[in-house]
Amino acid sequence: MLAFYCLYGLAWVIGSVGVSAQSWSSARSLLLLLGFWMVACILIPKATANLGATLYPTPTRFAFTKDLHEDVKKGLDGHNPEDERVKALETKVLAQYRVDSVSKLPINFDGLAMQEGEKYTSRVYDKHVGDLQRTFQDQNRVSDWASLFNPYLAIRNLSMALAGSDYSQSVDFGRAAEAYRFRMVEYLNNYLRDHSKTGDWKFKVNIWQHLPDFQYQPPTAGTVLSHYGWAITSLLVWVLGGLWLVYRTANRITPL
Amino acid sequence: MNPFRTVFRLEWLTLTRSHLIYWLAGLLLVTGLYAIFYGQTEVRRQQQTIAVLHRDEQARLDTLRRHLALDTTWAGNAQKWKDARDPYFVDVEGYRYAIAYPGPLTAFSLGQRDLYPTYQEVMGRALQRQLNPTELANPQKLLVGSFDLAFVLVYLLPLLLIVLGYNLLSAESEGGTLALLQTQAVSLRRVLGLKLLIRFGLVSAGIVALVGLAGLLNGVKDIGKLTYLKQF
Repeated sequence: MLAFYCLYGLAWVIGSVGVSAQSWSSARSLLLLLGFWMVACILIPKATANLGATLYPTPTRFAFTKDLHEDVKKGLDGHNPEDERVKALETKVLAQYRVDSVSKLPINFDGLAMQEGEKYTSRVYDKHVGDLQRTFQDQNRVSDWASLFNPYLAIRNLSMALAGSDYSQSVDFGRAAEAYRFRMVEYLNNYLRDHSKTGDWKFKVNIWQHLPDFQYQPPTAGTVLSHYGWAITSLLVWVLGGLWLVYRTANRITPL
Repeated sequence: MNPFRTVFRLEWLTLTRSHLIYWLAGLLLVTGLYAIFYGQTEVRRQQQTIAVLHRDEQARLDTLRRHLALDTTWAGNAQKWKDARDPYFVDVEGYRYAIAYPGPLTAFSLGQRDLYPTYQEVMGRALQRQLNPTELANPQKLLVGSFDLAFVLVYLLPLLLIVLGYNLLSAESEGGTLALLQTQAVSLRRVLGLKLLIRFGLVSAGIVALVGLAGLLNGVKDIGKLTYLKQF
């Protein structure tokens, strides 16, 4: 991280010297640099965020929840025995085991139904939240590209990435936590299905100790940095381009 | 000789010869117009959302009213008619929205409306089930904030003022003209005052033009009014 901050500082130092060498008055040089700072550090970040949101509009909370609930309603409700899809599942399972009532099943039908419902709602949730996350990532890509022309955006994105607080790492952590939750519920439902009888809601056994703890492996620095090729290129281009500008100007300036 | 005219003429020449005034005016104009445009698009988006909510509320209430008028002699209609008379069902299906409409000055300063929505469902259910009132927003966009006219005026304008005024006196001293200026019949204080007045006039003209234009576009009738909130 320190290396990137040094590169960033170097880019500004070289840029300042370069502009200063090109200008015929210190006031003009200062104004030009201040102007560049204002555009790069204040205007462009806002403008690219706005452009991203215009190109890929964020749904309103109203529309998002409405679509989510409508899709959830279309599926199986494992907690409601009157649900039509639960009834269909029951008929299928009874035929499979060649019995005429759920009480004669060797498995607990409620565990099965709840897991089917869980699978469905998780898929709906993953789809909608995934779409939203993709929208935000599309929006952020505009500022990723702009970082090629703007050292401020480059270092801002690199800072967040290396500190582990950028958007993609939040998404990665959220996905890992949700996958763990799903596996936990799946384990509980399947255990209920395989070790108890339908309707036995008094079934109690201490199975929490068998559940593995949540373990999150954050992405490695290499993986994170591979997403920020534009930003790293940007810092290098600004430093090298600035150096070239300074040398060219220095060669042209002759004593007297 | 009118000292005002002389100072004004010379200052104008200094500002225009270095093209400074054009750059500053251009920057203020471009950022100001973009900010006005952005403020308006955001307010329009809020209004569109409110229109969708109105339609949604209307559709649900219409369905309930239709169910109330159903012919209950047909068995298929009985449940719908019963539901439409059930207070619990009406609360679930017939809830309404509390709406804060954007005001005439919303577009000037969008503030926290990017996260806090202009609407809330009014529902007879446990409060802890309603505790998710924020609008969906991209964290990166919240991080940089809105590009509205208030941002241009409170953030960019001071920078322009610094650029315009930082060498008001030091330029005379560096250029070696300060001694000459001091020997004039007009006092230095007067000359400085005039230089400041010219800059104040130019910047004020810029502010009035931008705020006036934004007010005109947003249907503000009295731009000089302090606020559009109700007085005490």
